[in-house]
Amino acid sequence: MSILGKYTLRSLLKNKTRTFATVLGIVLSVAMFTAVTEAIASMRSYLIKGIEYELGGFHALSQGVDVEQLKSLEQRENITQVETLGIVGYADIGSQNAYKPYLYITSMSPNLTSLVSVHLSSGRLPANSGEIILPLHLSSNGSVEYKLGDSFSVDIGRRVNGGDVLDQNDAYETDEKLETEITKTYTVVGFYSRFDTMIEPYSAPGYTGITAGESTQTYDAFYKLKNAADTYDFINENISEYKNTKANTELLMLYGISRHATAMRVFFGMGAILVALIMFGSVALIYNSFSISVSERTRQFGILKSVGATGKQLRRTVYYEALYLCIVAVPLGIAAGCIGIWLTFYFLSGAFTSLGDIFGVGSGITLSLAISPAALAIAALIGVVTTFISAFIPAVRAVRVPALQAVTRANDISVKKVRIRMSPVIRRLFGFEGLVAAKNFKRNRRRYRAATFSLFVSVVLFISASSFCKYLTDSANTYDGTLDYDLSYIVYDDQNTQNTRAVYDALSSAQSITDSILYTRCNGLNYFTEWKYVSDRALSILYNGNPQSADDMGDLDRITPAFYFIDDDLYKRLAEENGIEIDINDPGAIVYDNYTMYQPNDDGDLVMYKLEYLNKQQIMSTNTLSVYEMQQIDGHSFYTVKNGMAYYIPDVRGNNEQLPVTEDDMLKIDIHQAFEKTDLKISGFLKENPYYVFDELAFIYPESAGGELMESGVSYMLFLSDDHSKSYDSMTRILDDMNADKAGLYDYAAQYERDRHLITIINVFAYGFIILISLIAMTNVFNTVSMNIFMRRRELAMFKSVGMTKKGFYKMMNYECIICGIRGLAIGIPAAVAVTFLIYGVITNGYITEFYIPWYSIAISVFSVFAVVFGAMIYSMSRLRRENTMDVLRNENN
Amino acid sequence: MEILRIENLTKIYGSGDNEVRALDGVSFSVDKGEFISIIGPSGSGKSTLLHMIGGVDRPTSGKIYMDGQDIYAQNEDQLAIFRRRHVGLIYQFYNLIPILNVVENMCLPVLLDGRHVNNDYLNDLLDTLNLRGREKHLPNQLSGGQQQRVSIGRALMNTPAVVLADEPTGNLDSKNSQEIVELLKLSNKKYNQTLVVITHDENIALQADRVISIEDGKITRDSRIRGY
Repeated sequence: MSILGKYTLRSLLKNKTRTFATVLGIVLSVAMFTAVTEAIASMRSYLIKGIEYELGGFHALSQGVDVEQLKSLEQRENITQVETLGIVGYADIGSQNAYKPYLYITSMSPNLTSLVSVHLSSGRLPANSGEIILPLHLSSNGSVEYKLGDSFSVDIGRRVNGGDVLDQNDAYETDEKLETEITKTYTVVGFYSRFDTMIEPYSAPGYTGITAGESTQTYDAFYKLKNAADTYDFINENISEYKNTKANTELLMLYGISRHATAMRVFFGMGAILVALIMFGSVALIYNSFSISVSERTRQFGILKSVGATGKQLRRTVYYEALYLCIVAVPLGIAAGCIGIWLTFYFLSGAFTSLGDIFGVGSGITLSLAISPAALAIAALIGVVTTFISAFIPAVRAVRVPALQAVTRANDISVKKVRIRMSPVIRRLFGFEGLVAAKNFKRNRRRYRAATFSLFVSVVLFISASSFCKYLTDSANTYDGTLDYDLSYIVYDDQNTQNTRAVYDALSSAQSITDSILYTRCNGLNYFTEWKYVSDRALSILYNGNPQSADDMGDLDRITPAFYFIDDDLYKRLAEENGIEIDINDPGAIVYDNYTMYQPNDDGDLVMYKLEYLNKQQIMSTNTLSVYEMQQIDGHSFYTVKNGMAYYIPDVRGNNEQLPVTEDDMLKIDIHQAFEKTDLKISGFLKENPYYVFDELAFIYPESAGGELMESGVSYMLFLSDDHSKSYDSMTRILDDMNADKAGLYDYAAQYERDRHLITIINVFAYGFIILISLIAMTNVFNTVSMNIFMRRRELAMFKSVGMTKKGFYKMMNYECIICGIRGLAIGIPAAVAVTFLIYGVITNGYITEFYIPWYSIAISVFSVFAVVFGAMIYSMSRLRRENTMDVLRNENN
Repeated sequence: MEILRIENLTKIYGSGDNEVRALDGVSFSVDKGEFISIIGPSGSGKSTLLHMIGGVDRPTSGKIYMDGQDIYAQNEDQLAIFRRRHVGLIYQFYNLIPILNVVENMCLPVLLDGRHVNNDYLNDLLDTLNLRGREKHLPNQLSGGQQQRVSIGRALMNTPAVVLADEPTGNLDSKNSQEIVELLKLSNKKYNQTLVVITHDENIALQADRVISIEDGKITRDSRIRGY
């Protein structure tokens, strides 16, 4: 080891406290880098596993290849594995789905499942050409029922239309024909989940059945390339020979291979932001450590210089220092990061499992720590780079100090003369010692710059990290904490009120249902009202306080209310609970007004506003709201209002040649004739919406008052349940039995649980991040403050030698700490608020949460800044007290 | 043979009202093997002169030639290399690196130069400086006199053209002081070492071959005491 290497190592060992703080800083930083990169790597491997599970691990699929082409594929050097589904042919199997009448029989190669996922729900894979497995949707979608062990015979052939032979990518054509060629008998040995649409498109006319050991003329070939990155090039180069070739895009995207450049952008983008934040904090921390270590050794550097060390050699000592620290700290940091993320995943595994379908990953795949050498290498590299960046500046600075100045410590006495003013109150509080501190602070600003800077960085990091997390949680948290109902069923095409009532009654008796409600809701389109009924805020947002479209609309403006028709008893109860007087024979509307409006801002971006749209005082003074409803004109559709005229477009359905319609072709009617005025009776306004009313402008009526409008509405059923998944299953069966549409059934409670899990996950990561960032920040401040005091041991010893008491010391130090803390906060808090505002802009893009000053985090940071500063001061003072004053004063070698 | 020539050396600190002429047109030359003492009151500029010769501070104007080479024509790094090869510096406050032991401190200039330590010469120096048995000691385990002997060893280790000593005995009692002077004289004789010593001490000054007095940055007297 060179003499400078030895020198560096010994300096590190001698200054244990500082070395420990620096190592801790690097460990924390590397741990966080590792956590970020490992989290990304694990997430990626989780998603890859998910896609391999759902779809398969193949890179590309070439459909309709013949024997020769298949052989050629198998012989290519850059293809490592080829598996096939040989195409046996189509058979009419009597499916009830008119667009999917066939069974599409294929024969799998022996190892197909190593590249393509086949999820058996029962039975086993076919072993020979007499066995077949059928997809589950043959029954659920095509209503063709077979059981395990059933045998059936089919005539197999090819689909032709005109002279063309059709395949799975050609949807069913009504005039196509099936030319049967052979007859075969199969035994059903298993059922499997439907293939992904990449293999069997939605429009494919045949249900894919899989047999084995059949020799065929055409194949769907699935293959893996030696290097996945070559996939797209391979496809492009061979497009003439293999026309129907598709890449496994989702899988390749996760490998970072995409034609559209920025794959994994979200993950890597988020990762980059986090890494940048951590790097900023880490550089500040580690930089300070180095800067202290170097200025502590300025004198030694001077000596080295005067005995002939070159600038390069001195810089190298600092790099040696960085190197030694990295050797110790980086492996520790990586280990800590891996353990941390492993623990996080371990405790969150439950939450992640239920999130499978959010990420498009099927059940059975769990998120677990994937040790990725690349991720670790990146984390280590970023850590090392951070450390070296931090070491670089102090190293350069140290070398610049002239040898003589360093040796004689000329720096120590080169202070600026500044007038010191001190208020009498502070003077009385802190006495002469305070004055000394004030002088120290004012005349020797450099000394405090490091401490102030680290306070500044810490405050900014802490506050902006917590705002980041807060906004992130806010934007993920779409529910306000409680759920009013567990399941809903919506009847979209309600032909038969009788039937709806029957379905409702049946569903209400499903398992575990405790309460339920049925109501009708419909949107009021093409309604207008007078300005006097519109709230000032709405008008000012609409017209910027300056109604311009008066020319077009007169004094009318569009409103889009929703009409609710609820059970009469419920209606009465609602009125009673809210102190609204009603007459059930002439009920009038109970209004809930929480209107959502989108208006372009100055930049042309749409901004969302939530507000009370109606002028409550005006309406309640007469209990009336006049609305103008657009008249329907036969053969025409309302288009727009312009210059006081309503424009209607003639219906030209089925005759496209008449498009586009010019204004001359449109029907124009004076708006006062086009609109039909109705005075709605308004009984009262609600402050809170009942759970069955959405956040919108809602007019609530009893069912008995519903007429035509109610019949055009959509029926909603809401259910409360003790056990939502049991209820959901039970309801699915009921709907099946009644032959009713299942698409309207929704399990809100399950969604709510998933959302809660998502929020839990975000919170865990967010708080983990905040805690680590705070640790970095605290270490940083502690390090800087204590080192600042250690470096002044001579000065302090001198004060002691001329008789400053312990109390006096603390007075002086307290004053310094307070000033330092205040300065750090004074620049840190405004900067942090500014950063918070930037984060607000980025994250809430599109959401309209109000910007707020993060008082809570500010309070915490004010408290912690003083706690840490005073803590560090008390710690170092107690260390210094143990030293002998005279030794310190006399010892020239330190 | 001339080893060191100083021509019209001027050093000005500060500017305007604060201007201090630490050195004002100093010129002299030194022959190889000469033992010179420079005396003068505090603030006369003698330390400044020494630092200029040692290449640790740059003059405002004037030139210094060592072995015929203009030392301030070099950049910082060249100057550093020049220093470790041609100059030995001894300070009043020994200026040892506290975390390096005696031998390491002594060998610093050689090691920094990337050369191998001449062990015969090192052993010879350790004997001469009476540091035997203390090779592995750290500076804070040594007395002031011993520390100064280490710093002399460091200055001599690279067999420099010139050894410069700034008040080498200023921090020592009279017994230790005399011992150090004897060592310096010994090295001057034994290794034919050129020696420039700054001192307050008349006794020490008078043991040199030649005494230069400086006052207010100017040479006021340059007298040869004995031939050599």
